[in-house]
Amino acid sequence: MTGLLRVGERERFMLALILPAFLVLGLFQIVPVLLGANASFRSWSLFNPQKTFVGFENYRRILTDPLFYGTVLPNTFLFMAASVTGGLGAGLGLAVMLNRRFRGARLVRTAILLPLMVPPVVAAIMITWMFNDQFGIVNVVVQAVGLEPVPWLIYRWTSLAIVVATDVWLWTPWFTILILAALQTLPPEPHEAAKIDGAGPWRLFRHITLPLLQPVLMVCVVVRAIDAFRVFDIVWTITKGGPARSTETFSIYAYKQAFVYLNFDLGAAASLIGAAIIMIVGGVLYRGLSAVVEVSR
Amino acid sequence: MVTRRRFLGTVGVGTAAAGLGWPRRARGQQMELKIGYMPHPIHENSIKWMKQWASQNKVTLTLVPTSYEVYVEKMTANLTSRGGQYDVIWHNDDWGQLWGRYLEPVDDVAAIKKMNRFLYEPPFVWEGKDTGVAFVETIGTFFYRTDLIKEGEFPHTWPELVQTGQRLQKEGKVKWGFTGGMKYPHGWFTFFWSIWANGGDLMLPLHERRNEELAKAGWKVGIAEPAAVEAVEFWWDNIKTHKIAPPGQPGYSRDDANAIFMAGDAAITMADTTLYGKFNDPKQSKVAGKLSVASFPMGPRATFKSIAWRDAWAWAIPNHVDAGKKKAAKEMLNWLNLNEEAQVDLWKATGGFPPNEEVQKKLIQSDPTFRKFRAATVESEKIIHGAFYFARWPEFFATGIDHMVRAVTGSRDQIKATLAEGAKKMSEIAARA
Amino acid sequence: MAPGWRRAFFGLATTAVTLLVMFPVAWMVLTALRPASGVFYVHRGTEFTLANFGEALAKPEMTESFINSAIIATFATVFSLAVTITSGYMLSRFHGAVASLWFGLIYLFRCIPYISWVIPLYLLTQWLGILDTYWGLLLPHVAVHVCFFSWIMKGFFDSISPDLEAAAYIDGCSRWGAFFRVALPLATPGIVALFILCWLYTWNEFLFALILTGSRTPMLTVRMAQFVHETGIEWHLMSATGVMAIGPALVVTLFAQEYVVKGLRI
Repeated sequence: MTGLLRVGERERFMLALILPAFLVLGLFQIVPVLLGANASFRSWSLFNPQKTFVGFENYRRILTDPLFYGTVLPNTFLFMAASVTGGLGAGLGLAVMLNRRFRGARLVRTAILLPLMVPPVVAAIMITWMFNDQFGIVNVVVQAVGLEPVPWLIYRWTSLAIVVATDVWLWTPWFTILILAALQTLPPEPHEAAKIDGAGPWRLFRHITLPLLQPVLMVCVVVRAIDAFRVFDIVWTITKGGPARSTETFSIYAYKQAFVYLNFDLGAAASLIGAAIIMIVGGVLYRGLSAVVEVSR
Repeated sequence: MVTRRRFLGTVGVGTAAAGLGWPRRARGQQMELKIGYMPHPIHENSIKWMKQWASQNKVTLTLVPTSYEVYVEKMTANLTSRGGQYDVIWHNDDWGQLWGRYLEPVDDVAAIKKMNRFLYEPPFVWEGKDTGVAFVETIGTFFYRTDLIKEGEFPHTWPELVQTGQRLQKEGKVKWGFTGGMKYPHGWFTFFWSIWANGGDLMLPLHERRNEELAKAGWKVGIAEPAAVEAVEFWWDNIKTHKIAPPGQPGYSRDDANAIFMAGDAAITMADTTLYGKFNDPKQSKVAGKLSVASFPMGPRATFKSIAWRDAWAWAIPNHVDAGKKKAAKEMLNWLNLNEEAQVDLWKATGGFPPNEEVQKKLIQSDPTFRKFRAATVESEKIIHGAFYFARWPEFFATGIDHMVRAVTGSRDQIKATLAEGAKKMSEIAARA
Repeated sequence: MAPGWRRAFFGLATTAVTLLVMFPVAWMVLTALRPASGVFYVHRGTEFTLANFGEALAKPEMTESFINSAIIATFATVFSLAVTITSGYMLSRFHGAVASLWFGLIYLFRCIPYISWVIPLYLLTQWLGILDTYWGLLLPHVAVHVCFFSWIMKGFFDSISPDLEAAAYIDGCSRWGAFFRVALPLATPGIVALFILCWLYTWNEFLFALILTGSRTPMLTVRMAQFVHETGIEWHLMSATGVMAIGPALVVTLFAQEYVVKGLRI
């Protein structure tokens, strides 16, 4: 404790480094979150904030809602797993590809970064439009190969698949750019040493590149997993959680509680429950990935 | 712009900004009224006329467009926190119960006396006082293509609707007989009209909208009653058996359905009359110039000849606005509804009924299209409200639609069970204070 | 495999992936070029027009929102990087209670979904009197980036050996001197990469732009969505604006991309 309280030159430097970030975070995130957390223990509808204290009643109601544990959480985990795996695989592949020198590399690199330049909400509207059962280009292709047009957005699994595909499309460049930056800062010595030892490209990648990328990959996976768990805008734009609430993820569920049903208290409780879950999942993921990478090294 | 210059000045590049010469907003000592609205043709038409009033009365109008997506939550947060971001706000009929306590009574706006009282009770009444000044009536009607269906041959019953659709599709004249929005929050254009046209309702007693009476009846939900079950079965059949409606319809918003109609791919659709302007615009719509309207085809159980809903969009004034502005805002809203030119322009530009009934009477005399629209809608035997006015309506309504969508996409013999499950949940929601 | 085959396969795969990735954007460009009446069946018909761009820009708030989005994106990025470079450096170089506490806080708040605090944030900015101003939108953006960027920056500094800074101390550099003269230049490629990501993220952000703005700070994404959400089915106008919005994003990316490569060669 004394170590924490003693403020020497080193401590002053440390605190000065984080102070600006802390102030902004504190005022514009921590305070609003605490305000929301306060509401989750009270009876607080958006249109008539009575603010009477109800203890854990709101939490109880969310946790006993069959929709929440039966549909919303499975959807959220499924979405997270599919989106992170897809994005990581594609991003790693593209980064390795772009790390080589070939003609047109610049063009390809720009093209692959294109999804980053499209606002997710516009991308989601565009995707919805492409999958429109009457006018969409996807059904034109489906019909061209002789199949019946598919009403994509009235089934749970096709809707979810579209949302996942959109998310992978949007976030692959994000993985690519960070992994590529890491690839380019890798020291060349281990590769050269291994090449002299006669290692093939796959073994080089598997045993040299991948372990060296570990810190970046781990941060990417954990951060993306957290973000995918909280996904909101593209699900909202493409399915609004439909058909009949079957593709709701936990942010959609919390949003609907708070802003469609105007139960601000329940919405706040739901988002804090979700935050607790993802904190644990993120921690486990981080530990687990560290262990896996350690073993395979 | 003032905001931008102040910001850029603060971060130290103010001079550069000034050098680029961004336009300066004239800011005299004029009174300012901040209008909170959704960017929609109807609102824009109404605001166009507000601007005329403002320039005559030396008032500055500041327009604060807010997306529909977040309109209710943003406005609600603003009203409950008495934020003062707005002086006049758009107020939809089914938000009356949410906002009533935060709004200025507007009984002293004389123009309200010229409107149909039905529009106001109960949606825009809070503790006996009016809380909004209507600026357009919002009424649903059937639009159909006169190049495919002769006026006077429009189907009057559900079987006729199916026959007409199938005939046109078989003759290769059109891709779909009918289309309409279905998913939340668009159920009016399929599920709701058909439930009403089959003599059913979302809650019972039939067509009752007063909360005291609904509470007395134990918040009884009507969507598992035969009239409503048949209506949902009707849609199941239309999509899967008769195939007069697109298979993707359970996922449609009103915009999806409107697009199909405007692309010339459906013979009939159901929409608000306020869309007439868009449907009839040759730039956007392939069916412009060949449109007519009709009242709902009736279901087998209906005991009346015709039915329509009749509601309104209003402007309202938050009660924390200061007295001078309240007075000016009321004068403006009064002027807007007494100005015949403005009222007629609203109808001509958009297809929305102007709420001033004296103007409507004149339009009946002078405008055959208006006459046709009236006959198809407000001259129906039964006139009801298209929503309910208890606080939990948004959740109630969403739960209802979700179960109807589930029923219509599931197996046909499960429809009744799914609706019964929904009815139980909806009743609990409505009963919650 | 023979090298020729291998190269052909690589080329083919690259082309296929590139086309697939580009398709939705290409489709948006095509939609933007169709007249209003041809927009239902984008793949049918041969009428093309540039009028949509003019029509989309005709609304005065459209140019406004282009400028606003650029200002917010640029300054939010600059501020975010400024506060998180130091914060990431601290996390990388120091251990102990304060660092763990700070990391714990960052992790905790990264996990909480925006939607749970966006309404309190709205009320807070209103109470502070900065609702519907640049600061009212910019500072929450910076707050969002604090968590993630501190973390990423920590990773960048982790990959730079602290030995060089130790050498600088020996040469008489202060802590700040070592940070600015030694660590910061070495982290530049990463910082530039983050600059692109942050700029694009803010330029494209929707939820804050939707809730924390009003008449004075219209933002581009909100305007674009309105073509489809409010006035309904004006896909051609949304696409036209979307195509125009990619312009600045493309410039930033191309510029910074070059920078990344240059930074890395040093």
